[in-house]
Amino acid sequence: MADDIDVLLVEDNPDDAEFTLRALRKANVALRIALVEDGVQALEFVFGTGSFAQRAGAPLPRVVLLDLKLPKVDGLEVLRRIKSDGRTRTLPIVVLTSSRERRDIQSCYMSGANSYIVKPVEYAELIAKLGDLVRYWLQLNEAANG
Amino acid sequence: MLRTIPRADAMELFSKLISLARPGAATLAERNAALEADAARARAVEAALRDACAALEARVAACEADAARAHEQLQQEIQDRRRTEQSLRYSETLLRRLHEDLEDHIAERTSELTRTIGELEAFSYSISHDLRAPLRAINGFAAILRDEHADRLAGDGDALLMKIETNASKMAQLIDGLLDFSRLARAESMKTEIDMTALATSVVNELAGDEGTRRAVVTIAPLPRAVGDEAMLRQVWANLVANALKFSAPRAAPRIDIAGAATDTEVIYDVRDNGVGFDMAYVEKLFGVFNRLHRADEFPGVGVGLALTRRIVMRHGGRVWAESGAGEGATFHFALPAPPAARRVA
Repeated sequence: MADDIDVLLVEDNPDDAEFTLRALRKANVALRIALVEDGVQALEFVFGTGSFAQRAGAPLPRVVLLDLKLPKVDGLEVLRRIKSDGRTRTLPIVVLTSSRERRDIQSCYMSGANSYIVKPVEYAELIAKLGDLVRYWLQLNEAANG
Repeated sequence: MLRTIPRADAMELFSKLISLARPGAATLAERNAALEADAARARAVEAALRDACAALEARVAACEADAARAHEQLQQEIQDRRRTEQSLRYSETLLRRLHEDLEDHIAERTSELTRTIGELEAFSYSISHDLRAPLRAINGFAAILRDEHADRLAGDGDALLMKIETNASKMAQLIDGLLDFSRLARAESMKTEIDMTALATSVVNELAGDEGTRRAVVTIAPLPRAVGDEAMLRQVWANLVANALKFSAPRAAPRIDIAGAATDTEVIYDVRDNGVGFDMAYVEKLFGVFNRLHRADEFPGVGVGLALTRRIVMRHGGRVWAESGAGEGATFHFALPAPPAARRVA
């Protein structure tokens, strides 16, 4: 049985992944974080299939941080598939992207995103934003599946 | 004028004459004379009849000639009309063809424009997404270096790191400016009637809270109303007022006067400051993207504000211009097409 995961980070850019991981650890060193690098892996992780078949039946992560521009299956499609499946619909998904295009923001919310955060250029700001995010989604918010 | 005698009347007259002549004719001489007289009358009647007949024929001939002329005229008219119809049909065909050509041309230009807008969107998307990633990396790793390896930074290492971060931030600002600029090209404008006095006042109140602008005295005269996109025109006021505040900040008593006027064709707005001004020799560079007339360490900014201002005003069908003498303050003007006359109230 796989461990429970607090945060599933879906990010293909290794630099961004490193910053996000560091910022999350700064917010809470004890966080259990999993990193996947494309849309296919993200879906396999969530649904416990393919290279993540060992996770079949494992509890869902408590929150997903999802980049939009991903290889293979893009972030918006990952979002749609998770939100249109009864088993995973209540999984909180926070879009974390560098795009502040109105079109992207709107299609994410239309597809069921729970939150949308633009990656800041300043690292200090990233730490602040992810600190707030961890406090909100992992401490303050009451999750659907408890 | 000849009198025509109908044939039946003439015959009756003739027989009457004969019967009148006979009973009273006693002698041969008298009868001859009477017959002579009868014959003479008959000849006169015959002559009259011939004349009448000739006159009739002449009239018939005249009528026929008239009819022929009328016919000819009618034929001419019919032909003329036919010709006119033909040339009308030709003009119609020509017009239709022109119209079709024009529509083809418009369709072509529209698809060209749509393609350009699509390219622009892809371009700005790539700017917002791809160009920011390396900047985040530069900033991020510099910050981590400072956080986690500060003890090993010798000499001016910390100052050098700071320069890396400052430049990355500056580049982020440039990208934001470019994005604002390209976003404007794609934005749909929503035109309404705008109380420009209220809009300028609200912008001034918003900016007056900023540091270094509290000392400035700002006056706003009643401004003529305008028709335009309120969000875009707010940006125009914000850029011009922020510029005026920025360049008058070094003065002991910074002062900004906002005024306006209406002509038959335009509504014109002025923002005058008593700041450092600029050299009129460079006035053309003022409104270009990333063009600056002052060193970056003298006045902050990336040089997008006035370019954006000009673009917005031009999208409204207006114009923007400025005048100044170096060290003598500057006045920026923008003019928009006059709203419909009934609404133009200051």
